[in-house]
Amino acid sequence: MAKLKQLLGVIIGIHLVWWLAAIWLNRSILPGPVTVYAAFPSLLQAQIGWHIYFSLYRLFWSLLIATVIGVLTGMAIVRFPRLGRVLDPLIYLTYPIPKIAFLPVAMLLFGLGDLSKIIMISFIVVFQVIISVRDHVAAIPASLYQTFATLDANRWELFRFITWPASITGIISALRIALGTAIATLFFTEVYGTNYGLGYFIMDAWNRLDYPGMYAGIIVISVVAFCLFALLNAIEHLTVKWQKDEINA
Amino acid sequence: MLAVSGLSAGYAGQTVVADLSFQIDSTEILAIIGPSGVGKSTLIKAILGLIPSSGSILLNDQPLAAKTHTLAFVPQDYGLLPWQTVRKNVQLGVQVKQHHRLTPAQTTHVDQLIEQLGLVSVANQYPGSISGGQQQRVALARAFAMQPDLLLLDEAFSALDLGLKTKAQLLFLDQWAKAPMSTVIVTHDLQEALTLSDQLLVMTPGHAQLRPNPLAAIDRAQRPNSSALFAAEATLSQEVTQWQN
Repeated sequence: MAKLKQLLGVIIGIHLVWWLAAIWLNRSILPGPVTVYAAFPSLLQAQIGWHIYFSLYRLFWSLLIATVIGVLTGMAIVRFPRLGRVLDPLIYLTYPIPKIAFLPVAMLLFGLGDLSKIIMISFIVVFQVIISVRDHVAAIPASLYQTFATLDANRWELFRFITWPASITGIISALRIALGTAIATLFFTEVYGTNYGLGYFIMDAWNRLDYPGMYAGIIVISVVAFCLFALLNAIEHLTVKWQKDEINA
Repeated sequence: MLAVSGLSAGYAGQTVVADLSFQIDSTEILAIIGPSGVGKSTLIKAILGLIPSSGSILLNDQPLAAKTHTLAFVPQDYGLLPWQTVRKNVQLGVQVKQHHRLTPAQTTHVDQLIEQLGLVSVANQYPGSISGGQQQRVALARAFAMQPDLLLLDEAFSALDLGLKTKAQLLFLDQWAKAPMSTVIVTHDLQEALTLSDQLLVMTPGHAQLRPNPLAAIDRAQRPNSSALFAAEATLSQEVTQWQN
């Protein structure tokens, strides 16, 4: 209940600042909240549901690919030190590169359809997942592996009982960071080669000088992102109960 | 019986344990004592095969190996899985060792150990939410649940305060006495070594000596209250200091 009140407070605060800014600026480029919400019924005519669906579809596959590659690479760096010695500097060298600059290359190699969009988003967020998982796996105390090694644990048992559970918190925290980056990248990738997606919807409204529609699209993308963050929190709640117990102890 | 002969081990080309030999009976406890950094933990890791070593380590006349023997190791931080409940942590020792789920008899044995070690009220909690003393008992329960051929404890009592430590030692001895096994305890606490062991392996830099526990004639449970304990501790402490110099 306290969290809900806090959330409502933040939403009211944002709308108040927005409303005051719209009155102060008094230009069509920044309509007030009332004007924007009045445009919401037109979103249904503009098939906003399909735009949300296509954006979620691209986000889902991008994050899934980035997570699978990121988790395997992050774990491999720690568990196979020789590989880590090669991959670690490679990651540090390539992580800071603004990878959105490779968008024309992705378009050329993978076309203008969903594939180039999904690969581009995955390429950008995979580094965050690798680093987070690597750090979490590296932080596992050696005594856990030693204790299990004396029990004649095989590689699968070490992974199942130690490496994987220790990585889950890393994966979730990486996804939380990656989700914001992925949505920002999604916006860029949906401005070409598609007539569907929230990025396309916002840019299209902008090009038509339909500012209420554009801001309505921004609100929709925020609400979708909020729901995805809430979903991540719910997954965390279900999978890492032990951390909650530690905090409450 | 654990028979160690000509054991040498170390890290990165530096020998920490050199040409060490000793043996302990299958119903004996050996306490390895000595100052920090002398190689006590290195020795225990070498015995367990966690680091490379040379020499011979036989357990019940067979080369010691995790595959052929049941080994139980309690490290200084207890080695508990934070994401598993207390009960599951205890069960996992047996489950991983035999590579399949517990039989009903084994589950009952685990439940009995949880009860005997006073862990019933925290059995469904996670290790991070229980006290250090309880965590230590969970680690002991996991070790005893496996009914090991060899039990090794690396400073397993050192993180406990004095009152809790004596209580934990007596609880350990009570369980150990039900089914004794070759046991090696690493400690820097002379009182602990004298209370629990039959033999002492005193390690100082470049020096290691096996000797009987001067309190061997006294029942272990009586040793913490014995005046002889403090006298033996003082003598031993003096000797260790002399060897160090």
